[in-house]
Amino acid sequence: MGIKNYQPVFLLFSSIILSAAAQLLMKAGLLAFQLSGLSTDNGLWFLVDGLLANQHILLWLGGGIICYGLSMLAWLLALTRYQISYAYPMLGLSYVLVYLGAVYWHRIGESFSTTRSVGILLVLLGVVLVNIKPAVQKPCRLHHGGTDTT
Amino acid sequence: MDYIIILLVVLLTSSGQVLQKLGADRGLKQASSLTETLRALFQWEIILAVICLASALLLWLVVLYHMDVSKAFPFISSGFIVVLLAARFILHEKISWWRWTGVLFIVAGISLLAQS
Repeated sequence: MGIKNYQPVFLLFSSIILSAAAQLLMKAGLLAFQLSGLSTDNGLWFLVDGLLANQHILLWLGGGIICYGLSMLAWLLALTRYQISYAYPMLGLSYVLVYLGAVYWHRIGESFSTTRSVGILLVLLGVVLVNIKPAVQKPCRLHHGGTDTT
Repeated sequence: MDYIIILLVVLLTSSGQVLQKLGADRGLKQASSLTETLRALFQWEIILAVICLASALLLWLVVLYHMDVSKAFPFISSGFIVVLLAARFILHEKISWWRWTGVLFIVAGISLLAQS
């Protein structure tokens, strides 16, 4: 097997989606932690005991950290195929996913706002612009689109 | 002081990205088996990248402790421009005007996303 066989687009989008999932899971975990009334003030054992009784908190935080790691792995593999000046701006999409998740996932339940929606539109427009391929002037091996040909 | 830390966060994040790209191009690209891929993940560029990104994350938490996200985020999102400059001048990538414009839109959009 080699990474050459995998579709680079699949890797890039996996990384974007996993990094958004990581943020959302960690946020849900921290919110559940606050709701549970647990704190670090009453000593370590009290905290460990409470966390074991509320395993969903650990599952979310742990899931978030795992998604984060997988996201970085997919990112590194994607970088073997794309210029960073293409791949990095595409990460802007994960901010859009985080916003949508925070609004529509009831465990987080952040409020929808006009300012933020305009922000989403700007990011999406930016992503479209980043994907425009410049007209090729010469029929030689240029860096077309985001594909790294070096 | 907060602004110095924000600057550090941006620089560490951008360095982390450039190092990941260098690591991806040097070892990972040529890896043709699972073992080679795993070995290529532990080359110095990538280890240094992880250190940069982890310290950026810790410093970011320090910033958030003192400052509102909505105020700090526009500075952080300028990291997209720093990464593009690094791609142009350190990695010698060709970047079209479409792409520069697109990144400006993305930076503006993310700054708005952090406002409530």
